[in-house]
Amino acid sequence: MSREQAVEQLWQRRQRSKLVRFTIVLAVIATAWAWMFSDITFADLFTEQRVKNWNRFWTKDAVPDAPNGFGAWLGEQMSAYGYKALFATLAISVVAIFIAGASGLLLSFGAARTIGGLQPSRFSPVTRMICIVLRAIPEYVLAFLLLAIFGATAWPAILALAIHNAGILGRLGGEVVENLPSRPLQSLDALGASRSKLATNAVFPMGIARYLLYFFYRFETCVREATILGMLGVVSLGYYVVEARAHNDYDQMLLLICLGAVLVFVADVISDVARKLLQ
Amino acid sequence: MTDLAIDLQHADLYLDGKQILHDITLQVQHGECIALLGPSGSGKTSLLRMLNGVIGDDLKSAEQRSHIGFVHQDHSLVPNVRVSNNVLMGRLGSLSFWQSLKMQLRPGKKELAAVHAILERVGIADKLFERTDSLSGGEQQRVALARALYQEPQMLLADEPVASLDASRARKIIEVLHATAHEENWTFVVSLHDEALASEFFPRIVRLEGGRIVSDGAYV
Amino acid sequence: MLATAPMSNRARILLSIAIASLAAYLYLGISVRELFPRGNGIQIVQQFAAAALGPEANTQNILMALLVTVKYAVAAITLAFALALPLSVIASSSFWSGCGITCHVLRWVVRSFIALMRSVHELLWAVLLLSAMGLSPISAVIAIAIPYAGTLAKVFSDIIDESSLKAENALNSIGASRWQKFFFGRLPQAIPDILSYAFYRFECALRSSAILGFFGFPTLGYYIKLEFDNLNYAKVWAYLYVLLAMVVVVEYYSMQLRRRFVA
Repeated sequence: MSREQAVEQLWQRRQRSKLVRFTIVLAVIATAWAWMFSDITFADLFTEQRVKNWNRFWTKDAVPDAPNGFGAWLGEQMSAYGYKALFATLAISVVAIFIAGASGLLLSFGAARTIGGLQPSRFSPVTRMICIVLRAIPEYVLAFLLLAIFGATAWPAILALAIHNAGILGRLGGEVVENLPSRPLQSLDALGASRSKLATNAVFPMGIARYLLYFFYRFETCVREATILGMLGVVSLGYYVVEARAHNDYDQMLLLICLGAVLVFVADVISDVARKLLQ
Repeated sequence: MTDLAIDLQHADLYLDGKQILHDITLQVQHGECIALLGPSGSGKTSLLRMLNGVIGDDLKSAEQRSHIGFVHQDHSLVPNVRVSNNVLMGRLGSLSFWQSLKMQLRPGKKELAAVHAILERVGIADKLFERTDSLSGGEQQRVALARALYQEPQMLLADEPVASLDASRARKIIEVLHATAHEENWTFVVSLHDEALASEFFPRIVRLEGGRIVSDGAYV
Repeated sequence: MLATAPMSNRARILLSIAIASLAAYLYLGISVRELFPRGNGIQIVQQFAAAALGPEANTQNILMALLVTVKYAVAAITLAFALALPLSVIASSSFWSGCGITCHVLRWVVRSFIALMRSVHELLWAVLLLSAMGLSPISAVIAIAIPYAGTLAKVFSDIIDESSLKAENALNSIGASRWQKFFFGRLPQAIPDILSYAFYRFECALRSSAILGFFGFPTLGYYIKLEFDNLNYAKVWAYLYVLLAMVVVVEYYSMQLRRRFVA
């Protein structure tokens, strides 16, 4: 057998994962379908009407109507609704992440399959299932449904964010608990500590730093989501965006979108600083 | 004496303000094979890196380095590509970026046959298309050796190349390296911790201690 | 030791969280009592909960909504991926190692650009594009793709920077160029994590695509809003179940996939 044949044979026998190959084929087909055989087309961006709309938007609609200069206009807008929009959004996300963090903490004790390799939990599969269901529904849909129940207070937005994030933090927290070093936990267990004693005296102090890392990472996304939940009619940034759009005040709408970006950016920085402090 | 492969005269090496090597004088002929012996921390790795031209006062260009093979202590392969890809990387230094891209993605039959032949010499030809990190530690080290052999350098530096292998495998590998270096007339500098192995293959042994050369010559 | 130590960072952070939450709660002027729905609220809860067990499906509508949802998500994530790959390489510090001040300025500009892309929520991008251009499938796709490209690019560049230096050093000692070191020594190590994160973001794109329906695009969200406003709770549940099933199936699939290629 020649060397070329030997190489060829090794190539034929190389390891391949069926699932990975199937996924590649699926991805190629799906991409081709979405871009080539559907109504999604870039040409749509350049029809005469769209180009006209686009030009009008950026040269007329979205240009601030500021006879006294941009600074004065900005000041007016900020005191009229800007600060309110920012603070309400921030407050909603802070309360929401607090509730999510606290409930996620409880869920993580339940979701952990084992604690320090000990005490396998009977409730673990159920709790994990709850976590999956909690986070499977998008915040926006949850808030929409809750709005009908609670009316236009901040609660629908808060609860929607809290429920979704509690599911995520519960799962992540469960992993934190499972990955804790087992030695100290086992010695406490040998002393006859109960599961709840173990949780408050050992698991919490050992795992809280890591849990807080996830907490702040979720805080970031929480603020990002909170900006838009207002679009349903709750008083957050999104509410003012929808109002501005309804009144064709596109300059105000654009300003609000920029404010949203600034807010998310600030939340990013806060969570970065907090995570640095924790490490 | 102009055709020395290595010619160090009273060389010192400082790293981060700390002196690592003291007054190193070392001359090696083209095609000569020598072994470095010494306890860990004696400066063997630093000396080899200095000969490689990546640290020290006498830095070498990428073009110069492409003629120097280097086998590292930890095999330093790309873990999640096929063995063939790792071995083919041996010749990166002599290829342009686009040539090397083609060689990585669609290697030719000739190149693969050459890689296969080299893997056969280090005893793992049947692993040609396996994922590198699915191999055992010893097998991975042999892939690293194969990468250096495929490079066909003028000088081969090896830093504890057989530290992760058992005695009989280690001997086999050193034998292959030594024989190849002889056949191809490569200069070969290898650091070892196994005195018996060093004395069996290398007529000239350089001993290091505390960053200084303490002896240079035949095994005693 | 612990008892005598001054307050740790951890304790300080926990305290700050508690104070900030209390302040936010007071600022919003809400009360816990509002959490117990009264009158109309109770009725809606009862009717809505009762409908959960008997979802009513219009199979054709559901299938169409599902297909459109998936279609937008696929188009958006592929576009985002194509944008994110080059951006992430430019934004990573390892690509520029050994390069002067100009490179750092360029890298900083790209990183800020990425931050801007992802700081604006996809629904806000959607509102902006709708206002500037009007309703078109491509605006939905672009609205999702912009922030997703930003997120992907940031995470990709972190993954690239975190992968091991060893192989790159080895290639350096045998004379590989800067580009060769990066593209053959570093990038391949990052690819499994990059793909698995992209797949995770596809899950998120499905959710985002569903929600865009609230703005008139014919995805699942459109029907959820429509049927809820018409008080057809049984139909709302059918769409909700489909949404849930879609997310859970994709999540399970991606879990299996990750197991195969992240060793």
